[in-house]
Amino acid sequence: MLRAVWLTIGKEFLLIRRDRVGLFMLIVAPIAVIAAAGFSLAKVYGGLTASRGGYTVAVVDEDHGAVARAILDAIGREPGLAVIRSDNRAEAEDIVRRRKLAVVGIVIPKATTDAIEHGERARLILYTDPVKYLQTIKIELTIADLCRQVTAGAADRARKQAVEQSRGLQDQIDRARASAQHARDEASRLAGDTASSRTALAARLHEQVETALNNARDRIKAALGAELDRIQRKLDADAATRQAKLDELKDYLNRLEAAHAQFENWFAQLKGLAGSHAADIPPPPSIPNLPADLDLGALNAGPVGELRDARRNLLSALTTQPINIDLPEVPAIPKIPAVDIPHMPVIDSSLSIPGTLGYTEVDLNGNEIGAVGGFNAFDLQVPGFAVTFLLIGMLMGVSLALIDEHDWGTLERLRSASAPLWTTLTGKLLARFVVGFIQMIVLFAAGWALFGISLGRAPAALMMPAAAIAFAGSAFGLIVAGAGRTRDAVLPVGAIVIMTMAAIGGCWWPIDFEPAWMQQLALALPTTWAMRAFNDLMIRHLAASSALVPSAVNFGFGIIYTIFGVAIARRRFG
Amino acid sequence: MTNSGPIIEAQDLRKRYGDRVAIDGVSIAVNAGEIVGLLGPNGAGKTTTLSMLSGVIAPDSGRVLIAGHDLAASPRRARMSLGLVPQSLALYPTLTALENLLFFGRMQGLSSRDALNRARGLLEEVGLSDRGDDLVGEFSGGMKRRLNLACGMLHFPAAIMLDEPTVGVDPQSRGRIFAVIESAADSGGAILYSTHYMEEAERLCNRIVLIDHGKIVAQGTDTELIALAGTEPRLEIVTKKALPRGWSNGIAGVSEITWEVLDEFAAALTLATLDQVPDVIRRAGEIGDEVVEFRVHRPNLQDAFLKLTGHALRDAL
Repeated sequence: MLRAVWLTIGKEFLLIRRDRVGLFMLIVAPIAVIAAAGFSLAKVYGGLTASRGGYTVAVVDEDHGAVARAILDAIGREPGLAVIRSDNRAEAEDIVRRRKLAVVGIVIPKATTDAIEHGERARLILYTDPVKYLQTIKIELTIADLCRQVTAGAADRARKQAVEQSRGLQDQIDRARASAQHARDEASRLAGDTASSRTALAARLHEQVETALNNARDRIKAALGAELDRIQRKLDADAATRQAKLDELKDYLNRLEAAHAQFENWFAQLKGLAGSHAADIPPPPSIPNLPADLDLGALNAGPVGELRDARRNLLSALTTQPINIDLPEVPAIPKIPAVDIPHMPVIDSSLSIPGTLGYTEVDLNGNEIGAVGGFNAFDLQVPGFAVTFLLIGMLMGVSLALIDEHDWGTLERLRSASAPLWTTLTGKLLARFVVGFIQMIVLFAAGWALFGISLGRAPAALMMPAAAIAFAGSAFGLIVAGAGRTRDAVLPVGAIVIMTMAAIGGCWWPIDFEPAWMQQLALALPTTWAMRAFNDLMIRHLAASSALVPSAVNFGFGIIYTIFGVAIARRRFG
Repeated sequence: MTNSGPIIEAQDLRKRYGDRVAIDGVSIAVNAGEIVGLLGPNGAGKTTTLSMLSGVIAPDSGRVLIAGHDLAASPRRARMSLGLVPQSLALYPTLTALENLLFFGRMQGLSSRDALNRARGLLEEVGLSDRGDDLVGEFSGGMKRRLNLACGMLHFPAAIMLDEPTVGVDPQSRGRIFAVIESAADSGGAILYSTHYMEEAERLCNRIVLIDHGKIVAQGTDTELIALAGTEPRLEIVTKKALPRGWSNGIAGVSEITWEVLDEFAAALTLATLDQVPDVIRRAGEIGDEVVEFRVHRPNLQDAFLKLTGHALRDAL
């Protein structure tokens, strides 16, 4: 049986390859429709494809003031707007409503600048075409943002002036505070200098007094020394004279002492010679001995030693002693009190001048993209119409092909040839699933190459919802084939069902355009889940995991469709 | 498995669609080498019978044996011996003739090589050997019919069922088709040939089964069946206005035959002799405003069918 399935798949691919109309519908037709829809709706969604001059506005300048110039400059810088200058309101209204040359007419009333400059309310007047509702909303958003920019610009200028004045005053205060501080610093420095000078003066006085004293001392020392030297010399001379006399005396004494010893010796020898008569010899007169402690040197020592001591004592008395000079204290310079100048509060713009509340969109990379952002319309149209044409392909490839096989009789022949119906259905579904999957990949690749669509953070993740919707779509084709009796019945019914599913499911416009009840209803459609996954991946740039649930839901739809489709097809073709 | 009995055997087949009885107790047997014609008007039940015999639809009751295999009990074996040539052109118009043959041949279990060899042989047999690589959608009706026949005979089936295989074909294609069928029968194939062309049945079939309103009304050789209609010559007349019942009263040797013709004011009579033709034509012209067409012929299967069922094999003359 697998052989039959495999052969059926091969046959299906052969049929698809030969079916030029089918191939056209698979690839070329979707790209053509995508291009038409994408370029048509680019203005609505904004983004890369909204070229300069996308919308035209007529402008009447009655103000001729700075505000008008600012508005005109802002409009001129807006890439999506082209301007027709109009002379008066009637002409502007005519341009918009009758001649349809502009989507919106903008009147800048007289004295708008004055009103703005004086803080009064000013309003622009717009002429619109009710038929061009979406374009008008888009332009009104742009104009609102431009007005906000102009108002914000004026407020910014006023705020800037106030801030500058505040800063000037603050500068003056700061300078005064700096001057006071400088004075304080100078006074402190002067006090410091005075104390230093006093100390220096004391030191100098001390030095001079000490020098004078030292000089006096030196002179006294010198005079005293000279006199003492003279006395010393006199004494020394006297001492020398005395010493000489003493030396003579000492020499005499020494000779006397020696004569004494010789007398003794002689007397002794005389007694010896007197023998027995020695005793009869009368004793010689005694010659006294020199006293043992006789120090003749000491007789000359007295006055010189005294003089030496006197010299030492006098010089010692002349030794320098610390001199304390107590200068009277210099009266302190009173401190200059701190000048307490309060800080001038910087004028805060949000407090001093009411600010302008605006907004800016931040893109997925965190970059600000202005007040009226958008996205590449093809990011929506490529997956949307890829899904739509995938379903159309399934209608033709599964539903009509099964009916054709039935009508041609090939189904009958296959069933008589040991190929049960399920092998044909399985082969056909598998082949169409593969073709649908490839179709999605080719259309996304074409969208990327031709229209610059975003493939998100993980392009490979796009294959997940693509496979899921291809599976659900092919299985849904089986249900349509089983439900329709003839080709003529299947075509309109299938087309209506597919178009409805695509529309409600958000394939052609963002699902958020739809009322809440319809969005709830859309949850029962595989197109909704497919678009949710594609939008998450391509436009919201979410992670690949964001496509898991929608893809799982669509695989679930596919399984349910397959069960019902096989049951219906067996009743229809079995 | 050797089967000495009929290759195609239907036993008391019955089929209802709601209250309508489509097939009511049909029993048919076709032996090897035999061509049996299933002859009846449109809506008689021929296609339904063949569908049940080929396993495309299941009978409410009854039994089908193909080469001895019960189609309900052993469908795979029975189908391997079965070749169906459906009334519709069961071909893929965007494939070439060769691609069609290869696909159906392989689906019947042939290897790629066998399928290719057999396909080339059959293209030769049906006179399409020079068109094998052309898309079937570009073929004439007769070429498609021949290819349709070839697709049903790729795998040398023992039992071949053909459902009006010559509808809308030119004489040349018809001749080719007959030749292939006769060749298959000569090779031992058991062939059940459904048609509402009595000439084809007379020309091709060994036996003929007349079927009407889901019932077999008679079966036998063409000679046996024609004999049921008698031997008098028949006159069929088409007039501008309808001829009322009894319009030929008074003309000796003439008896009206009641039949059903859907789109034309036509009448049929048996004649005792051909001498009565001028009188009958004149009377028909007077009553029916004008005689548009008339034909005198010997009794055939049409007459036999008319006699047995009271209405013509075909909707018109």
